[in-house]
Amino acid sequence: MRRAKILVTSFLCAIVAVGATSGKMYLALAGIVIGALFMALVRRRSGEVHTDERVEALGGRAARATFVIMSVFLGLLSLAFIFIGRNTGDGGLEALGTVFSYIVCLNCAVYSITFKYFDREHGGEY
Amino acid sequence: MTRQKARLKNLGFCVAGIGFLMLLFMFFATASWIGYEVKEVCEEAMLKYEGDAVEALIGLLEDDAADYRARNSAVWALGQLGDARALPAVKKHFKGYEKGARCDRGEELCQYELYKAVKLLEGGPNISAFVWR
Amino acid sequence: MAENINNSIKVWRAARDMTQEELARRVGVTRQTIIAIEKNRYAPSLELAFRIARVFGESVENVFRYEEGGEAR
Repeated sequence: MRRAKILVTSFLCAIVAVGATSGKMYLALAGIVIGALFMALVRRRSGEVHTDERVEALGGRAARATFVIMSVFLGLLSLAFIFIGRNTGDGGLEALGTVFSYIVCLNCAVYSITFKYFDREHGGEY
Repeated sequence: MTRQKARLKNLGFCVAGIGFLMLLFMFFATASWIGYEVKEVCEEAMLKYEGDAVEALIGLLEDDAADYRARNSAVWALGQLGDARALPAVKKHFKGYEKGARCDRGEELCQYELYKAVKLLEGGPNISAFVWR
Repeated sequence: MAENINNSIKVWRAARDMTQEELARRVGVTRQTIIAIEKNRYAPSLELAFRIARVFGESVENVFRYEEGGEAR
């Protein structure tokens, strides 16, 4: 089973590589799509367990950590961009910083909405 | 059944809220980008022509020797700035616009651009300008 | 993470001559999760605890023990 997987994967990789190097985008795209389909099929057929409650709990923590890290990073980056843009008169940098700060706000708002959703979904209200 | 309904309602609120936020974000991002473009056009015009931003843009618009692309963006920027001082200059070039008419921005002053600018200068609504003005 | 919960999965597994792999398959989790639970690095959910105990044919209390006085008091 494992050997078959490796064989198919390397074959598809070769197709994608040939498609990409010869500039035939549809060939590369088809290779990627077929690969994704094949993987989904194999996963379903093999019946192996890939996610369980521990993986889900870890995923939740990783997602939260990612959220915090990205928010802080993008927030600081946007502040720096706005500050540098203002000082050097580079409007593009300032606009980029502004958009980044909007992204941080969006991130926080989406987080709180999804949190509220799951809070209600697993709450005792109904 | 009622629980199912409540869950659906919860999901609906969640999806609608996130969708609304995405639209709001796209609006704000586009608006700040428009502000940046306007600023760029103004700065470029102020290098060549005298006066404040609006005067420099009018100078660019009136300069027959200037590139038509630059003059068209000057019209656009004047409309976005919404300063009534620019109205006579813009109206002078405006000959009338029919819906669906196409224009070559490199060869002529685009009548559609002028039409939009006149509407904005006459006090038409420009919601995106509130973000960057 | 699971300072207060001890378990004797390893003992029960040995008594039933069962590998981690087999136990994982029978309760529907990954082998890594079984390893983590055995090493007291992860406290399973109530449902998983019941499933594990059922595989051994024991009650939950015989497999998992709650001990007062760990980190959380």
